[in-house]
Amino acid sequence: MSIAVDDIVGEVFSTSSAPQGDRVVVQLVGCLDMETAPLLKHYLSQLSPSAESGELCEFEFNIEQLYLLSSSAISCLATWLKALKAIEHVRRVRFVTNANLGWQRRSLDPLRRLAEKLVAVD
Amino acid sequence: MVTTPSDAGWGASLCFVAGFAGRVRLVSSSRQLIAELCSAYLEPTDQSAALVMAAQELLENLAKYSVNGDASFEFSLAVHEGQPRVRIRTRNAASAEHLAQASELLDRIASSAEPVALYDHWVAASGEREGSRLGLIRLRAEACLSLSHTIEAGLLHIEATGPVEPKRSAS
Repeated sequence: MSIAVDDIVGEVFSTSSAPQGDRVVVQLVGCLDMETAPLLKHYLSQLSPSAESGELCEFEFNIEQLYLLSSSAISCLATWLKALKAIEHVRRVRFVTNANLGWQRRSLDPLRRLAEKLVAVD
Repeated sequence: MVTTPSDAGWGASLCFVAGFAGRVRLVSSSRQLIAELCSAYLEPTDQSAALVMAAQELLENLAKYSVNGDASFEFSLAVHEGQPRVRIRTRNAASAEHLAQASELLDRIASSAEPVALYDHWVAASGEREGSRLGLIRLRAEACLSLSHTIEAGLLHIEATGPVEPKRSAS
């Protein structure tokens, strides 16, 4: 199985995707601000068809090297999660945070509350 | 210099007056200076990180909505009535439409008895309107800052304040 995703390669923000069966592990690196949030939106839109078709059932976002998460990016993630909630076979969206960056868990809290059965924050 | 929360001389401030409109890199550079200031003067807590987030959200608003030249952004750490506090102030001109929208939004956020519930409600409505509307509510729900605003002569003034935890020693 292969999913068609073009990673974001930028100076300020980048992604690195590793599909593993019906799950994908994505590293989010850099800063998500008003300039780079549209790149995240584009990236997430590429994952949606694979989620809808059943090719992808689990998503893991490693944000250990993410140093800023602005409201624009939270809005993108929330919009994407809302669509994902409606897809029955999607099992899990996991965010792996950096234990030294406690703000990450706090900033992701509203997304966890938005989709408590779907989203895990570790 | 050794500082303590009761040291009336404790504090520092940064003020930027610039044409922020559309200048994303200026936002980023300003945020990095704020982060440096917080790192030098505050304990490295989640609250300190939340202040950098708050600064970013307000700076982004200046980049998105300010018009007609210079806008100002001020970030200050100072002892006020014996308590170390942060005060973030912005001032910018904006369109009449935006001033009305911002005023309504800020009134609602500032008066909310349950800012986290309001934040959750707006997160749940993401994608249903133009603009996320999430930046300012984060200042209350996530950074636990108090918010106030005024509009005078076409200028929007926003002030966010809250307690901070100074570093045990700073130079």
